[in-house]
Amino acid sequence: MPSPFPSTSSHPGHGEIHLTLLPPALPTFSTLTYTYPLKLLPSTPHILAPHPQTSNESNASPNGSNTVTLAHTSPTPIQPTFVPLLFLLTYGGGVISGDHIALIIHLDPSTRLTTTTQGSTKIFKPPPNISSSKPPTTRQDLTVHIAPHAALWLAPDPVQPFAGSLYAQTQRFEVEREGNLGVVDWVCEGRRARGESWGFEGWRGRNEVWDVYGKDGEGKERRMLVRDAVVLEGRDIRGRMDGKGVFGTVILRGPLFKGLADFFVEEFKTLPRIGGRNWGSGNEVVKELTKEEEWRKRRLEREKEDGVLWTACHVRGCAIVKFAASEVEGARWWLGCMLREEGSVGREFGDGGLMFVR
Amino acid sequence: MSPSIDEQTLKDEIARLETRLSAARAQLATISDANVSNHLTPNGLSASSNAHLPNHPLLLLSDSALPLGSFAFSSGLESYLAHHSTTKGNPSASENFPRFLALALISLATTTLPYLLVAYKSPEKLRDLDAELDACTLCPVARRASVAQGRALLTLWERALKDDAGESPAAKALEQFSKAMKAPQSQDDEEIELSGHFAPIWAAATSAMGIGLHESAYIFLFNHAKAVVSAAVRASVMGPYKAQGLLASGLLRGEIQSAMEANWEKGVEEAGQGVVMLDLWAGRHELLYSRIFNS
Repeated sequence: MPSPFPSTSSHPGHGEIHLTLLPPALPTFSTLTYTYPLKLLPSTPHILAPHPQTSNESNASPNGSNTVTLAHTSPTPIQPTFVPLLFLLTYGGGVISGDHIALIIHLDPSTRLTTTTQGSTKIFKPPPNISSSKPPTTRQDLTVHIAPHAALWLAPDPVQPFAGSLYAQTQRFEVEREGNLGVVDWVCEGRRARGESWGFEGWRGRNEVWDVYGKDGEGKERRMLVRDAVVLEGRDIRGRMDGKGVFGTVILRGPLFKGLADFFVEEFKTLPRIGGRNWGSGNEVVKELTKEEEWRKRRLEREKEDGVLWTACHVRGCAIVKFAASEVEGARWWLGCMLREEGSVGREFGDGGLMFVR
Repeated sequence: MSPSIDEQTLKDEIARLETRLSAARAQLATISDANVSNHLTPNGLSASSNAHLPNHPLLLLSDSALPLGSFAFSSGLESYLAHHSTTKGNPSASENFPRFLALALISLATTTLPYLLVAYKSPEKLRDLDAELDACTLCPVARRASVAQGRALLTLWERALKDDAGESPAAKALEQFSKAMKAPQSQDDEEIELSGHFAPIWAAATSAMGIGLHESAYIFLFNHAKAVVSAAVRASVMGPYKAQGLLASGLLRGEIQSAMEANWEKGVEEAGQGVVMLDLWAGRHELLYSRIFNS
């Protein structure tokens, strides 16, 4: 007997999100489907304060009846009235061996979406009764299309691969011109409390950012801007990690993330020189630190305590931040410290966008 | 004797046999090349006596005097040493070094070997491979090292190696690549920009010079090991005898071979960083108070 319930997606673990903008600037999920074990849970959205420029301009507009113009023709893009917050969840907070999660996100022009998780995504190891030489790979695939002036902030908790697990994830982001992408992708050593330290069979992660350009109507061109790929396989993965318990990447692109990108790169440049000596005699007058210097001093002390190592650079139209720390909490503190000090994620995407560093 | 020593002996023996097999294959390739074009056979030497001579291009390209500027790069070693000098109770730099060398080889192999293999087999894809590898090289310090050596090899190919290498699809691909590099690059960022990364150009040049695929990959990794070991000597990690001992060791050969095996079947889209810490150390090379190397 066929199921009486409508099925929009027949594959287990598949999901699709399509966020569109209804006039004048109301974001609406035209599609929000998912199947077990994936679950997509909308939460309290972030109300955006009116864009000062936009409101000025609409006030100044001579024909006030038609202030809403198409996003790609308008000099100042439309700002959505709010930013939906979406939790990406899996039942039991993890994925079991052989699971395949596949999620598609499509953001229409001038929409904005914040996505996060509720705790780390556990990658369970295969049950012992599977007697094949290699366990089945657990997979998570994410495909995202970001239209002009749309923005995605994807900030999950770290992936936590248990000892013995085999995992592969691919995240492909197609970003049109003036589109915005901010993504945090991090992985930890496993269950530290149970003595696990990079004890998985294999971990593959691939983040690709594609530049999508060309006029509507004509076929759009695609060009790969960056591919951030990590392949941890083979013997002694732990020995390659140099005592770190977590590592990750932040990828930023688009005008909305320019401030944050520049902030990371500038802070990286101000890091103290490694192996430098203090030539001071030690009895100079202690000058009063500015608030910013005070913040930086405190952050640097914590970086040292928590074994945080990081780099940031602009490369091929994106900003790439790489980080590692002795433990997840140290990395979490550091990321939160940076994101809160700069402030744009909280302002533009809401507190939900910072939940992963709470 | 403990089983681990037996295992090491066996590994050494395997390494030795495989090296001889590779050499024999390379000689065979040279003979068949010579039979086809008679290009490499000097007057008075028959192809069969030529088979007893070492592979000439192989020797040429494995020479550390090859002007690629590889000596300027420590491939993260200098930064690694700086990051490990302050912690007390750590083993000394020279004890740590073999470990670093293994990591450097794993990292180079996982990130670039798939590109080398595809470029060798399909040199006509050189431009696409260069663009794709550039998108995957996110650490500016590593990118600088790869591009500097790649461009140097391209220049060396043009000015010194090309004339004696003869015609081949790889030689043609190198010529086209070089021409495209010299053409004024359009400011339009929609064009594929050429960088001149090391691994694909190395693959095309070695292919054009009649070096076998296994030899090409092996020397690529071995040359990297030599550059890192040489950097270690200049950074006072170890003396020259210990350095040569390491280069001669079965340990290094084993590392090169296992790095080749682990990445031999991988396509370029499966390439990725196998040693994430190396990106961090190399990236933080910019932060060193004093530097003797460019990476």
